[in-house]
Amino acid sequence: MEQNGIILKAPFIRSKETTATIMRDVMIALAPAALFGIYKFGFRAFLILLLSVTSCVLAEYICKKVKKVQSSGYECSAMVTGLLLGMNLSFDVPYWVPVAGGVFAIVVVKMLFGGLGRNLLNPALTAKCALLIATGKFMSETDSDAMAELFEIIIFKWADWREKFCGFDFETLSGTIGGTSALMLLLGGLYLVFCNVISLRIPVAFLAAFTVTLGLCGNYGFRPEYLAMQLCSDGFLLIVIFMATDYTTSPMTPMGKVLFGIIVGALAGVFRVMGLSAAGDACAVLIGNLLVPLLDRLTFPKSFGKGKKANI
Amino acid sequence: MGKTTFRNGIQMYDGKDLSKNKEISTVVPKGEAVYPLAQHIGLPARPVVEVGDAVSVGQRLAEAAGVVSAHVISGVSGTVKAIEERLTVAGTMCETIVVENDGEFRTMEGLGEKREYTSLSKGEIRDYIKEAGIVGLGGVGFPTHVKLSPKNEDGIDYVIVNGAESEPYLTADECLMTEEPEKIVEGLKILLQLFENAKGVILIEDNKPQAVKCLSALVKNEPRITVKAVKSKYPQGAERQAIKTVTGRKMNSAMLPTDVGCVVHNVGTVYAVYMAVAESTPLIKRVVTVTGDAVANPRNVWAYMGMSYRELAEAAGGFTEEPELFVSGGPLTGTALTDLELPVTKTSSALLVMKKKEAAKRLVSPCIRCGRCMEVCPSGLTPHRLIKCAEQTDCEGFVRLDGMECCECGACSYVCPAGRMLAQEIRQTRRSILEERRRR
Repeated sequence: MEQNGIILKAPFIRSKETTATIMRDVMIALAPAALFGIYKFGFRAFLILLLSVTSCVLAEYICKKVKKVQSSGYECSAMVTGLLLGMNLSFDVPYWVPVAGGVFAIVVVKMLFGGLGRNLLNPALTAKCALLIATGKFMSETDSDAMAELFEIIIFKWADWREKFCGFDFETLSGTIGGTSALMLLLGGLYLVFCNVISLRIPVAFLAAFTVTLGLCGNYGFRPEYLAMQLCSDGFLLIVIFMATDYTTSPMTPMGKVLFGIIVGALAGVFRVMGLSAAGDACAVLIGNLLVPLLDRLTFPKSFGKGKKANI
Repeated sequence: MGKTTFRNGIQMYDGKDLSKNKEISTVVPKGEAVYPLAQHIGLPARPVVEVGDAVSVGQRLAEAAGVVSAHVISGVSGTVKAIEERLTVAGTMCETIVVENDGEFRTMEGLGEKREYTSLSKGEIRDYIKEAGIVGLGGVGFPTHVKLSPKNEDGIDYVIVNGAESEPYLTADECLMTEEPEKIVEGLKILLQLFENAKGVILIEDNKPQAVKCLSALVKNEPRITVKAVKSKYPQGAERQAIKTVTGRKMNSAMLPTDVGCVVHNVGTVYAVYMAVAESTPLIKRVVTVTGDAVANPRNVWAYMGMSYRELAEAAGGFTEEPELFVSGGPLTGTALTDLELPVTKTSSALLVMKKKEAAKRLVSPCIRCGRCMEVCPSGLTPHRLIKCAEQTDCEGFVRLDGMECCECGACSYVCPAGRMLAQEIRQTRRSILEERRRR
């Protein structure tokens, strides 16, 4: 079918979009939040991100060598995993934490399941949860402040809104590197939608279901300042925009995406109201990940001109 | 009201600017003219000339060898040099009549004679179309007279002239519509004479405003004919998608257009029908787009069947740089040419000459489940799953996933960011299953 690397069977032309350009777009979209995190938390935040990315890339490289994976060109997927993991960590964790997380994400979550496109769970999120459970003591003392903010529910004044939304609360210096500025994350999300990398289905369904669940189950009803506080909470939008929309671990069908968003959003809402773990949002997405094969099956598309769905 | 369209599909760089807005030039064939006897769907034609016979322009070289088959007509005058097996564009061997062209173009008696078609009976019209050896010029090559003889003649309520030409780079239909709009409208009127209950619709994508304008002006006073400009989206020109867009009716691969009351013909075919019925000219030449980034002077040409692709390339000024790939047909559904000496046939719509930079290269990269293939598939299939069945030669699974509904448009391979050869693998499996079914 090919000669000198040129394909000799139609189609002979191809879109310029490749896996690598998609990953590059995701990294561009993550850049504002990551840069803001470095600006806010200083050089140490940069080091954590660097360690996380490097360990992911190296782990992937070694795994590919061991598995003798053939590949033409580098897909940059490990870079995205590393960046996402680093952005989910606090700036003051010990240096070995991002390294351990990166290796775990790539080796255990991704490569053992078959590598790019085959993993059942989102690598960065799984690593984050694993780190919180296994090494919670080392994670950071400031994290407890952030948690208190989440669960003890401080109803803040609207005057603080802008500060909260943009992540300009420089005095406290708590939270994850990439998750403190809802504004920067939204900017990244808009870029991804604009570049056609993600559709709005998952994020919108996620946010809607999350808000409704909080409104119904939370103790404060639909009070806007309460909801706004929860939506802008540390790292939440990072998960909604970047982790829940991961291609490999979310449904492929349009309807499946909506259902996935609703399920994950509702779960995250319940975990937020009743749970006591900083990993609640992440666990909600991981549970959703496990449902993906089922959702894809339920929403299998109907062929053009056929009366009923294919019997799969 | 928004423009009607079909589900999914894809908008992409169309490369049409290279060759459009230029007058169609005629290429005079030189040397030998080569006529494969299987230029259509169905049984290959049976030769009616022998080696050494003198032939003239318009003379029948081979006759239809069954119900679904078509005549092959000579476009040159000269002597029959050989009747032998030769290689075709598809890469198979086929019985072929080779005529040594004497360059005089002596014509058959009566060729080009004007005929008043309104007084002809349906049978006469179908006979003239059959005599002219007309097949679908859109690419599949189904004999036109067969397509025009459905069982439910009175149940046909749409005659669709397909001028969508959604495939990138091709502008042959577009140029024909702007240069010969009268003949296309007349051709459609001939077809409407066969189907009294039908409306005629000329389907054009809105990226051809000139063609829309020309044809709309002509059909203003034709109560039975409308021009429908639709959104430019590949594969609008595919038969099932064209029918859906015009009528809203859906058909699956097991149905024929006549089952949903439609007859669909390419504009080139309709032009050929006019020429055959009203001007007694059989199908001996067609418009071919000669284009691509390696062509010096991309353009459309009137090419005689039987001439070689090399002659077409020369007519377009040769190449600006070393070409990497020659394609007969469009970039998404065409066939790679192994040799430029192969003959132009009734279904040759284009010669596309690509540079290395433009041609799709082989990539090895796993599926990332992005879902783009599903988003573009006009048949609503799941190419990422079908390719798994194809790779494992799991024909049962392939059929269960409705793989046979694939219209082979190639959109899935075009969009796949992992560069997987979705369309190629699916097409191969689909065709081998069809072959298997035929044998049984």
